[in-house]
Parts: sequence; structure tokens; C-alpha cells
Amino acid sequence: MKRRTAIISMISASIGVTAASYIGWNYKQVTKEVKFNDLSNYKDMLADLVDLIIPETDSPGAKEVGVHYYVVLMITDAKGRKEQNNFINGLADFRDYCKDNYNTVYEKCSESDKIKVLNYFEEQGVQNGIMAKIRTKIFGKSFFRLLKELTIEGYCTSEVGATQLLAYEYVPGRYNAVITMNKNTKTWATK
Amino acid sequence: MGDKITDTKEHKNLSYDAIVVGSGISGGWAAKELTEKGLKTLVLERGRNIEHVKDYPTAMKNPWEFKYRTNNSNAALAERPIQSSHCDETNKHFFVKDTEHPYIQEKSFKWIRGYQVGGRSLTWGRQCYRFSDLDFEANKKDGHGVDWPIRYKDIAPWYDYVEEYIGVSGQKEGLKQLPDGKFLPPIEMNCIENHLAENVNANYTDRKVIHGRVANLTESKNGRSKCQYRNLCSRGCPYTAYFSSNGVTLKDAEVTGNMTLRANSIVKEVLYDAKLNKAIGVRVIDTITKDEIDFYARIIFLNASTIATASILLNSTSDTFPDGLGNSSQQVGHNLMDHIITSGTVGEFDGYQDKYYSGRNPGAIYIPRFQNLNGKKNKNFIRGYGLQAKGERKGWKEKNIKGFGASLKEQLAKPGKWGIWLGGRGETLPDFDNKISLNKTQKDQWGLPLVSVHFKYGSNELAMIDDMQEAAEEMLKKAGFINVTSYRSNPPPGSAVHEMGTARMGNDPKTSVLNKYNQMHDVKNVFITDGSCMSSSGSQNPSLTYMALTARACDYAVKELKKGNI
Repeated sequence: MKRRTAIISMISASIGVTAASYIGWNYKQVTKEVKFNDLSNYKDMLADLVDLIIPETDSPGAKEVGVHYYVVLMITDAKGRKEQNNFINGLADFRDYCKDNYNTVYEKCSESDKIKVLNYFEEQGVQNGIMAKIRTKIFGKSFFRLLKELTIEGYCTSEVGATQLLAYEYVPGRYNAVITMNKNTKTWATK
Repeated sequence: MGDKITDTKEHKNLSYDAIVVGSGISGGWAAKELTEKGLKTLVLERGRNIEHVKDYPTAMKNPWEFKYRTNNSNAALAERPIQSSHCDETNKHFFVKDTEHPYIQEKSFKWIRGYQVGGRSLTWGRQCYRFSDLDFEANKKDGHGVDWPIRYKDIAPWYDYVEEYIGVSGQKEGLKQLPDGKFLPPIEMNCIENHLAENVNANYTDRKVIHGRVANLTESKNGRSKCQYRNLCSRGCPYTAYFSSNGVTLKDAEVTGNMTLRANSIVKEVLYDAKLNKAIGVRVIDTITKDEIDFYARIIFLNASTIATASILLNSTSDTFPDGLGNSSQQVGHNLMDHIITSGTVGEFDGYQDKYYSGRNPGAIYIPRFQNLNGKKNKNFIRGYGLQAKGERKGWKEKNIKGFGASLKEQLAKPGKWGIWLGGRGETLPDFDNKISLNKTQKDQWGLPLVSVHFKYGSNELAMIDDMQEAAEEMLKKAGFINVTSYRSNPPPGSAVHEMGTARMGNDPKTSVLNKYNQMHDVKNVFITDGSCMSSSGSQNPSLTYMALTARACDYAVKELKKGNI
């Protein structure tokens, strides 16, 4: 929680010496060496989280598709240092938040509590307006935004996501510029 | 193809009728034209061989077959810090590694390159627009640069010839500033693109939204399949449905039996004989063996691409040409241009919720230049720009959905609002100070001097981008789009990948490098038909013009050769 609070107060106190020192402190937090090993501590929690974001419905859920592996791969191999730190710090914040507010580890929270926690983090991570843009520019995307975007991307680009949740044509063979949709028409997986 | 020299027997034959340096979009054309006219032609390519279809490793892959699901990884970014804005996991093998091919940016300039057989014809945007006399007369009228030594009537039959061969889909519009061509049926507009077209055409008398003219086949042609609407062109097309050197011109050149294609061959310099006052050949560095080999020919076509061709000329020094081959005008390397582009303007539209499309459109729509036309003068800038546009419904990637769980999934599966993107491509004025030069101290891994690029937009270009955004926003708002916004940051020069002008054509040998047939004023058996020949940039995508000028120059060169004039 403490890391998170610091970020928020930095943004709200957008002027003055205090803010400047917060920026300095927080900037250090996101540019420090990344502790990738920490990711393995959250393996199960991450699998659970991606499945809460994209659960099984009439198509499989994100966990079954292995989206949590994709999230870890992308954080490790395809994100900058700030976002890597945001993500790993965010996982710790997430765990701390469960403990502080529900008095138990994340895994033991009820389904409805888990969803409350997710909602809380999504609300905190909502980024609108110029300050939010500046913040993203300086600090990178927030933990929750990274988690959600990567989960959606990992799922929608998987074979299951592209062909079962969405519509995918390997070789369309023709272009119909205007078609009328019916209630079953789905978003194209690729464009 | 695949005919690159490997055995020593062939090495013995070092003499050809013609040498073509470069196998990209213009080099491929030179290869085809010269070999079809019976010339034994050596085609030199600095990069590796790419055999059509066989060497398109990602062409048939599904998204989930890419480790990073088509994204660039950090390792990929580290290898291609400059190129990576123009490529991703699916096509990066057709873009150079910046770490292996450094150049100097005196000011920020993106030099996007594809060192392989076919060059950037594999990854080009395929937009094909003719220049008109508005463009060919521009320099003369406003005094920037030198007058083009040709007019539209000189190139028109060659545009016909090229379009009929490569296959361009589009529609005749009767616009003076953007002459019609020989078109295959256009790719239809989707309903939001139609909406924009109808509204702009009704709201304005000076402009028109038209179908993009694109080198993707809408009907099969010469054994090439029609477009399959996968929109994966830059991976290489297994159907040969878009035009590339690899799939089309080099194939036809090979069929003649007159082509020898030699990959992994960097042209270090053009060899000049002062007594004959002719180029006699080129010196090549074999990138595999590191050997230097001289090849000889009666005529030489330089098609290495704008910056590379100028650097070869500058590196070809002799007593006669101490500042580079054919550089008595001191113009070689100067007057570098690229189109100035915006990141674009976007808008959303409420409506057409029951409409969608099926298949993936590889093209775009186009708003041809409408400024400084028909007697109307813009007070802020001369010349003008065109706008490319594309409309689509938001998909899972663009939709910003709150919440998660089953409801998130449900919304991901539903097509989102219609949106449209408009991006300007503006003419850049020729400016002597925008140039490339060779660095005397820093060398590449082959010991060749590094290219140094010095480029800065002038006030005319900067005034134009402001206007692009204002005009785009106004058109969208008038057409009922909502949430209309323009991206605030614009890409650095070079981003359009339309470098031009470093060995310009002109009537006067004192102020230009090439004559009206793309022949060097100073050295009559050297022809240059890539982007470096351009006297002005127009606002149109330039590849079609390079191809037409190449075919025209080949015709002239072979006639002159037969007459014994060169």
C-alpha cells in the first residue's frame, strides 16, 4: 500500500517541494534493478488474477489458455524497466492490500472479495486527463493497466481466444466492405 | 532466382552488358527491362538473397505462433532501435539491424532500410499515385530547387506501362492534380469510409475522398493470384498478390536467362576511366568472403536507394571527380527530401452499429492534394499535402472496457464504435542544406565511411503539418464524427520512408546531376532511377514514379547503346 499511496499523493500534490521529493523517491522505485525472481512468488496469484479478468464462460478462461505465462513473458522480455518494476511492485501492493483489508492472504479471499480488490485497483489505476498522461510518461503504465492489457492481449491472440471468443479468418480470400451484422457477429480477432 | 554466383567458374566472367546496383523497387525494374531487351545484366544486392515465397518465414503464421504475439521484444528493440518503429515480430527480418548498419544522425532522421534481395519492395506501403504537371512545374513556378527536365506527357505512357504490368487497383476520378491511370477495380470503401467520402464531397467543392490506388491485385493477373485480404503484406505474399521485385520483376528478368543476381555484394564505388570518360564497372565487397571484386559493364544503373546511391557516388572519387562521380555540380548528396507526415487525426462515429466488414483490407482511402490549386492560394505555405485515411470498427485492442469477468469477455467479442484515422503526407521543398555526406573518420564493418544525414524541416513544411491537422479535424467534425483529436507528437523526418532528391534531374549540368533521361550529365553511361533522381517530392507516394522513370530510362539507354552513343 505504501508505494501506491506515495504515487497517488505525488500526483495530487502536483506542485511544491514535497511533490518534487516524492517524484525523486518514486522515480528511484521504478528505475531500480528489476527483481524478476519475485515474479515466481506470484505465479499462482497471477494465474488466478488472469482468470478473474477473463473467466471461463462458453469459451475457456485465461488460466486454462495459459495467459499468465504470456503476462510474465511480456513483463520479462518486452517491457521497459519502469513497467517491469511497476508490475512487480504492484503484485506486492496487491497482496498487501488483501492482507490489510481482508486480514488474509489473497488466495484465501472469497471470490467476491477478490473482485472488490480488483475493482479497487482498477479505480486507482484509472488514468484520465493531462496529469495521468504525464504520470504514465514518467512512470510507465500502472500495474493494473499492464495486467489487464496483457491479459486481454494474451487471450485474444491465443488460438482459443481468436477462434472461440472472437472471429478469426486465416485466409479470408475476399473483402466484403459492407456486411450487415446479426446478433452472433463477433469482433474480428485480427485486422 | 537463387542464381547468385557461388562457384568460381562464374567468377571468371566479370563482364556484362549492364550492371544494376540494387534489387529493390527500381532496381528490379531496371533488371527486368534491360534483360528483356537482351542485355546480359548483373544485378548486385548488398543484402542476403530472398527467394520469393520460400524465404517468407512468417507469411502463413497465425498470431499465436509468434512468441511475443507480433510485438517487438526488448531484445528486438535493442537490435533495431531505429527500424523498430516500422517493423514488428512478424517482419523485422526484412529490416536491417541498426547495430550492424550504423549511420550518423546530425539531426534526428530515420533511415529505414531493408538489406535483402527485393529491398523495401517487400515491405512498401504499395500506394501508387501519379505525379501531374502541378508537380513537374512546381519548382519552375515558385523557384525552389531546379526545374524538372520532364513534364507529365513525357512520363504518362510509362505510367501506363508500369501500372498495367504491376497491377494497381483504383478508380478514375478525372482529377487534374492526380492523373488517372490503368486501374484494376478498386477495393471498396467500408461504410464509415463511404460516410466520410459522401460528407466531404458534399461539404467541400475543393476536395474529394477517393479509393486508395494500391498495388494489390483485385483480379488475378499474369499468373499472380488476386489479393486474399489477409493484410499481412509486409511478411511477403505467397500469392504474389501485391507487387514486389522478388515476386514479379526479378522473376521476369530471370526468365530471360540474361540475369545474374549476386547477393551479399556491397558496391564500394563505381570505376571510372578518364580516357573514355565513362564508367567501366563497379568495385564490390563480398560480405561473406570480404573479397573485393571488380565487375565491368557498358552501362550502369544505380538503384541502391536515395541515400545509398548518393553515398556510392561520393565514395567514387578520381582525379576527374575528386568530390564524387558525376558531381561537378556539387549537388550529389544534397536536396534530400522526405514527405512530412503527421501521426494523424482520429474520430469516432455513433451509428452504423449493424454494419461491419469481412476480410482484411490492405489498402486505404485517399484525399488528394487540395491546397494551392485552381488559383486558390494558401497564405501559410506553398505546394500541398494529401491525406490517407482508414476506417474500421474498434476491436478488442482499442476498446477501453471497464471491469472484468464475463461482462468484459462479452464486450470484447462485440465490435466497438466506428473510428477513422486520417494522416497527412506533405511535400518537402528541395533544400541544398538537407544532405547526406560521408564521414571521413568513422567506418562501417567493411571499412566504408559512415553515411551522415543532416536534415531539418523548413518553415513551409512545418506550416503544412499544422494545416493537415486543422483540415483533418474540420472534415471529421463536419462529417459528424465525435471525439476528434490529433496526436500531438509527429514522427521525425525519414519516417515516411520516402527519401528522395540526392542526385536530382535537371536541364542544367551546373545545377543538377542527371538529365531528362536519368542519365548523368557528366558520365553518360551511368543512369540513376531510384528516389535520388527526384527534382521535387510532390505529396504523392513516389515509388510508382521511380518505376516509370526506370522503364523510360532503360528504353533510352538501350537505344543509345545500340546507336553507339554510349
